[in-house]
Amino acid sequence: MTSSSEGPVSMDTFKTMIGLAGLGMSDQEIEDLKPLYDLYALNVSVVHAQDFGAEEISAAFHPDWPDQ
Amino acid sequence: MAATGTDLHYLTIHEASELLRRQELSPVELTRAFLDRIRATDDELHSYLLVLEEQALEDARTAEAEILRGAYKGRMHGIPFALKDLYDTAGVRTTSGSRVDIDRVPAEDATTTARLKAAGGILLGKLAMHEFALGGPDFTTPFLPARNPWNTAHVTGGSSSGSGSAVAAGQCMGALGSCTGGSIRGPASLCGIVGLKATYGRVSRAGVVTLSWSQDHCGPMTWTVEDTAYMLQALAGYDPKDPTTSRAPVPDYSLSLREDIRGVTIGVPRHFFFADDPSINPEVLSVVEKGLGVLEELGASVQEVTIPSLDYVRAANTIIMLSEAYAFHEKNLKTRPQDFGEMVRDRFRIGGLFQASDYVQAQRCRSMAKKEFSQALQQVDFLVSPTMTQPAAAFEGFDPTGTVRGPSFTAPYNLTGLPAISVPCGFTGAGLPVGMQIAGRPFDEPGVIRAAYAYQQQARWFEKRPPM
Repeated sequence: MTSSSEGPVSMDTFKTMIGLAGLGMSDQEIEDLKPLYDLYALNVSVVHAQDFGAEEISAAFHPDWPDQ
Repeated sequence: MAATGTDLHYLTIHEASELLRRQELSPVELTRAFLDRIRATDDELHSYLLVLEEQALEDARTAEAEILRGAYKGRMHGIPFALKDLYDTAGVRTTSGSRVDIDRVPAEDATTTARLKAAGGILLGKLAMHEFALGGPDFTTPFLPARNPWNTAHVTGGSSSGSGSAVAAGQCMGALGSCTGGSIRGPASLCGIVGLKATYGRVSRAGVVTLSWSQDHCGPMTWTVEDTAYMLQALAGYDPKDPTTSRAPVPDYSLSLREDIRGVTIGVPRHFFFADDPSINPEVLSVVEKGLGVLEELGASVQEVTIPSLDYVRAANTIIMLSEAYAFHEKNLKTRPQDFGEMVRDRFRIGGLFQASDYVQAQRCRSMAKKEFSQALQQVDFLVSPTMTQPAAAFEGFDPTGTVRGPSFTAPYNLTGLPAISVPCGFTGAGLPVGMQIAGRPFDEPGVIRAAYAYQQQARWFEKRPPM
């Protein structure tokens, strides 16, 4: 269980994520990175909090807007 | 060619090009003046990673011969400029401010490099930048960070840090920056110069090292709006090497240099840009309020607009940026992580931890933001705001996570791809510059330039130079 002081994911989960990404980091590097990850992970919460219904994805950005 | 003098480095492109065209100034003398200026000031500013003295003088001699035989090419002919060190330069080291690329020598020029050279520009050298166009001043990279000419104890902003300091200090007449979340307009604002991020697709990215393919923009940074128009003229247009460039015709941007903006409507999303937020500096807001007053004096009508997606564009910009950056840098991150500076290495690694659903949802945020901005720009001609939430921070006590915590005033226009310019708008009580951001409809660079020029000519902040 993740405690609130650990941020959005626990340290164990974070280590698993680093391992799955294949980043090859030491335990110390992982522990040092965790606070910054927690800060950036707030962005993830923000975008997932939006309810767009059936809104399409902009999978690719087109320089000319559809209404141009 | 008669004109010489110690203050040639403070000529604008507009002023110098008139003298060059009339053969009253030699490109060689002009280039020498800038090389002297760099020698006199760069030990303090660290704007340049590499100065191309011999090549610049050779190119200046060529330009001089061309002009003398009547083959004047236009506003950029004989004009000394410099490049952020992620623009490829054939045969010249291009490091992206990183040990990773410290020995990288491209075989070809970036399209933008080639276009400025073809227009007759004289390349003075390669400029300091935040590593791989991300983060902030990082003392763990091989290069010293550029310092702000208005107060060298303060940062320039970034990531086009050297571009900001070099233009402000008269170390070049114009520079190219690149911008994924605000890296042209940010240092322009903090260094008291003009910076333009044109519409996505207006300026080629070919040969410019990637941070985030779908949000990277290339553009000019200059002392005045007219100089930005002249540089954009040389840069803009379709490039077969960049599939995202537009085939839309390139207008004559000099026609936008008119001081009349009577009847235009300006929208201000106050709920976001003037919010009661402790991370937004009230002095900056006060300065930009005065700027809005000047626009009204010029005949513009100012009204409030609401763009709800502003509350999440920063998050979407960040997730897309770091995800794409990780994809670009993954191999080096895994095989030679020690060659990255600490700040960028940490952030790129975080980009590898976002999930596909995060990236997709960020793109849906982007889709919604584009719709809302489009709707707002059907009500008004331009959106105006402060460029940055704060003036330039001091190096001492600099918090590298500070820009992550607060809102970004520039990122909305990277996410939507809309054109946006930062124009000097005044100073804080401590003498640090403040910029005003003017954004417009897709491909309305002429409108954005016109509004910025009208403001500049009325406010005349360009008359004040840094104390060095």
